[in-house]
Amino acid sequence: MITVTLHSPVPLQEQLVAELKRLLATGKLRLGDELPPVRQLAADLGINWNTVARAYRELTESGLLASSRGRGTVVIATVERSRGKPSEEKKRIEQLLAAALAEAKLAGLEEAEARAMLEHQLDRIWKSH
Amino acid sequence: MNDPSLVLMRLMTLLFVPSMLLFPLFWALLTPNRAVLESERLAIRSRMLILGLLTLLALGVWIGLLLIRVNSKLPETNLWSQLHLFAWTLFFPLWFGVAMPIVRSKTQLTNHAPHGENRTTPSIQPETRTASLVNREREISIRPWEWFLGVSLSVACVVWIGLRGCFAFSQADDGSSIGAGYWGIALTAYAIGIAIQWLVVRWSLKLLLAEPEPMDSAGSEELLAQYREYRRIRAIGLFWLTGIILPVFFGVMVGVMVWWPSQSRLLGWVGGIGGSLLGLLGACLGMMMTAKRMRIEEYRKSLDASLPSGDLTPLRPSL
Repeated sequence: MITVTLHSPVPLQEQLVAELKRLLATGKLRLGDELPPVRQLAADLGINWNTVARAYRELTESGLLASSRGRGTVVIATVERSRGKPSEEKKRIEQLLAAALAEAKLAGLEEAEARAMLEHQLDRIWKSH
Repeated sequence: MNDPSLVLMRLMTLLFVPSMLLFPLFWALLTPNRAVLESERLAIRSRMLILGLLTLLALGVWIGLLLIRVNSKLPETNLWSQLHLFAWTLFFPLWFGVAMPIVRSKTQLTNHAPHGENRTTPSIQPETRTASLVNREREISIRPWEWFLGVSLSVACVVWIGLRGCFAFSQADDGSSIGAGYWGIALTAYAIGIAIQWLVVRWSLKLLLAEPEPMDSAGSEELLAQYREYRRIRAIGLFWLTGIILPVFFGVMVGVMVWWPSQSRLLGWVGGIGGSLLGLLGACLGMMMTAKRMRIEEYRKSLDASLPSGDLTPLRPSL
């Protein structure tokens, strides 16, 4: 299952990319799995199909998905295999995390709240295998 | 005029046009109004009024043409007097132009609109939307043998009609006959018609699979199973009706027409009754499926209503 939140400050395309990455990271989507056609997913979520197409394209450019006529869109790599050197990846993720936490502080969240949120997501991704 | 079948046929011809013209109004009236917003309910009411007026206008046109026929000295040669038979074609603008949009507004199955616009108020709209990642095109319930059967029967009908060309076109004892030209037109029309029909079957199945199947926030397995069952029955019904029964029915009709032209009277009866039965079967399937889809939608709403708000946290929560 894939979930998006409407009226969120996070753009729908980003939410879709994040959700698909979470499914890959938690093993719910495996190598060779086929994703639904763009129009089907867009209709089910009630969003513009261009948003889904852009999310698929972003993941295709990241090397996670591959699209071909007849076969549809399939998973061709897991998250950890998709990018360059591990050290560079760590740095990139640290920056993303720092940006997210800074955003949480700017939104007025307490440290305990941000920590709880982080732990919830850690449990959600690492412990759901 | 003493022939009861002739009387019945005239009566049916007379009733056919008004029935067709009144059908969109009745269908729109019988559809329960499920629109939530008062503004939408008001809009539906005004569109119902328009449909009523247009139906009256169409009936007026038909009655006018009928009166021209009655008053005509040579009704068979007067074009205007013949036109009353075609007044039923006014059904199409009434149905597709007015009744269908009303029915759609009355039975909004989902809160989703094309291109992602929300047609209902944000308070009714769920904050989160969930979808299954199953590719429905790979779950199609039509088995290969069913495709094979459908295509083989259609080809067999074409061959059967085509074989008539190998025999002489002589006159039968009762004087009935068909010429090579008539046979050629019948064969070409059936072959082209059947090829288009198969394209329509494929296209309809593709459309069916692309229909929205919104999930509840928790992604209920039961709801997923209900959608799967609904899709399976609908796909099988659609395929058997339009891919097997319809081509065979028309194939047999055209075949009998070219092989036994003297049976035209019987053919008329079989065509009329068989066609009506097919239409009824299609309508029953359509209504059954609409009711099932509504039940699924209500079940989905009940699932969402039973879930405490904020139960599901996305990966990047809204800050």
